[in-house]
Amino acid sequence: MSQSITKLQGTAIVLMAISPTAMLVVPKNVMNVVEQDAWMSLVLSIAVAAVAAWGLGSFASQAIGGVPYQRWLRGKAGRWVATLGGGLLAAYYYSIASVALHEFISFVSAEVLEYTPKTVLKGVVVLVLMFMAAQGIEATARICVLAMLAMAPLMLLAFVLLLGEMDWHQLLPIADHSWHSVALGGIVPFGWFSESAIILLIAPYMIRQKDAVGSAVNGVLISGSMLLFTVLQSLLVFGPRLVRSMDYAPFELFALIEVGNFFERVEVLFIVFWMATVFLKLGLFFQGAVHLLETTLRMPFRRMPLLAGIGLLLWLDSSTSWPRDMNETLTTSVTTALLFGCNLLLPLLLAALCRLHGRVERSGGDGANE
Amino acid sequence: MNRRMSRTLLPLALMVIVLTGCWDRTELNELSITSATAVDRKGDRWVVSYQVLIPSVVSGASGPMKGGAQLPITVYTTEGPTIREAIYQSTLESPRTLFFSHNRVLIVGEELAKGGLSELIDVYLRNSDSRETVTVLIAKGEGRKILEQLLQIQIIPGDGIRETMKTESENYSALPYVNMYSLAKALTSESNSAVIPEIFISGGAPVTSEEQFNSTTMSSKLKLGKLAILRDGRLVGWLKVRDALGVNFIRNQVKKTVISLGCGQQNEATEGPGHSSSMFAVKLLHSATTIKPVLQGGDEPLRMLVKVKAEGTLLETDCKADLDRQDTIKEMERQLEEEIRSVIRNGFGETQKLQTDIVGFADMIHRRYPKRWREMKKAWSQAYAEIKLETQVDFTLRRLGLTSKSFTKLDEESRGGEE
Repeated sequence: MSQSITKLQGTAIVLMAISPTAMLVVPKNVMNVVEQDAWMSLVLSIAVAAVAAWGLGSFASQAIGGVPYQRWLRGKAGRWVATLGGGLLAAYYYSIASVALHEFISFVSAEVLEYTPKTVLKGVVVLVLMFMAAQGIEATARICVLAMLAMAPLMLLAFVLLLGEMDWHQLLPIADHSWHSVALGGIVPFGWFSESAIILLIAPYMIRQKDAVGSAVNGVLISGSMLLFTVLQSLLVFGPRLVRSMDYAPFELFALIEVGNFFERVEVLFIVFWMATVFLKLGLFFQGAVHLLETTLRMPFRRMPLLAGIGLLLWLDSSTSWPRDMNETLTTSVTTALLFGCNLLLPLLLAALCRLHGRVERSGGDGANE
Repeated sequence: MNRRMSRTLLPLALMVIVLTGCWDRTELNELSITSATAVDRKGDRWVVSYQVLIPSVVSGASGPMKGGAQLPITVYTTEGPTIREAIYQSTLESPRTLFFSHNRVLIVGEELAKGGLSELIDVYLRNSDSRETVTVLIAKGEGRKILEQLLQIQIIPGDGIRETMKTESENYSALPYVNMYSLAKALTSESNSAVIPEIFISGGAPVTSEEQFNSTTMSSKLKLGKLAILRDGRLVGWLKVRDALGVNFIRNQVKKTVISLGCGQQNEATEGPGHSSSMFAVKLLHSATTIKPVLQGGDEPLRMLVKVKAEGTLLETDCKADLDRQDTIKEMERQLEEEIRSVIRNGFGETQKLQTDIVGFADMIHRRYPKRWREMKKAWSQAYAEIKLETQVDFTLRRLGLTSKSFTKLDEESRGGEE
């Protein structure tokens, strides 16, 4: 792959890695903990996530242009660490792609295509993902930018159309919950913000590796703002209690839009747009898994028949792993722990091992010189 | 390689995208489009009635039905142990599947409302084909009767009922416009109370056939009536229209309304005592209510300071007072302020008798005194019944219309001139 990803494209990729699933999970989850103080949890979460994104971006910016992350790691921390790290991350990206695919199809099945077998729907998505993987990250990055640019006007339109339904008093009383609860409410969103770790994979293909810091931080700030906007909208329209029972609060919100008798049921427009962003997220994570497998195992996973093999695995795994369609797989503490573990702790550990390996090599070199 | 792979994958992906539609395809001629639904309880069974459109009639009519045409709707009822099973029972008698996406109105039966609306609201929040924006009304007796009643002005009765509700809420504001989501929101608020406007058939025999329909005067009409009061999802009482207007003032939901008053002191001042039977009417064009709860220590009851700022225009007057004089206008404003205060007090008093906080004071107290609210919450109904309401109304008469003197006064003056 060539070095062609710009800072804007990097930001859009980080945004698409976070927003689609977070939009679905965060409003209900945060309001379950802190009700009308949900915005405080989110602000806190965004602030901490921005610092984490800065750290991840700084680590990613050390990459060498055109050299894949896993291969760079091999040079910095040794073969075993790189193989283990690459393998773990590949499994992580694959597992998130599988969970997100299951959640996405559950939503499509519940809201739009009730009778179409989910296996067929998943099969269609997997084919698209394979196509995206074959096209490479640059093509996905360009579409991510288009989607990012379309997000703001759509959200603004929804805000204007829902203005009449909003009651600003729903935010009161402010700080009704303890700081402990506010911090607790911020954990799930922070877990999803940690998806900014995808910057580690794309940094080597950025035109300037130093831009990785800006892309990661901007991606977190933009997705955080959008999420904050969505949570506030849900809160102001439905109030904190009703949202807690809603699995898809943002779409319930759009379903209320009615202008006269001629402009209604517009949620389908927002759903279609959201579906496009989910495809991008799935595409990014599937490509992440393929890319890491390719560099770790040194086999051409981006090409047939290996690409078909991993696609088939994803299809079967996603189709058979969940006996029920409840919107819980994205919100369990296991998922949050997995997000923290693979997005924050693993890179932190790898960075520490890189530094240690460097020191050992330097001291070995010094010893040899002596 | 990539290009070759793209060439293989792209057609495959496109082909499957087309195929997925097969399972969920919906043909228009296989659907029964419902424009209104009524739900009630009969013992432990759910009774669901549907007002279903007859598409050929609706599409063929450019306005109200043309002479001798078929009726635009058909109404039928099914029963079942749950709401959804009752709906699916319709497949036993109808060749088409019921389609609720265009359902405009939901009529709740009184019996059902007395037992609780939780299951009904759950159905609306759980299923994607039921819209939360559906207008909710309540009927005494069978909801099916409301669905059977035909409307002349609007070809689809369900649409007509919804529009009537909207028009009333915009121009008279005594009854609030309630849809499923606002009902659910109210019932999950701190006060756990909500309101639903009543609909009933006013007049004689219901208009359900072509013969009755093709007449310039219909024997009966659908009409909005009282306001049903719900506490914890159950019907606990009713408010008259006037009291409902008072409650709407407190809820800050009065957009426009008309207030009629006797000329009172205006006439007495100019014409002497005994001239107070004349009336004047003012259209309220704008109203804004702000409420401040005041919670004092000890056993002092809670006080609510309600401030209403309103303005309007004179629509009609039979009063002889000189409208060019400032003190006449001031007197009219004072009368209007007193009237609004009285409407608010009476309406609020009725809700206190029912111990049901439909005005949302519980939420206001929770917002202003969160710690005290936690203690008060347990016995809120009793505390609500003891609230002291202090109302302050500021009414401004903005316009007098196109003439400053009443025609009665003008007529008297001209007759006086002749003498």
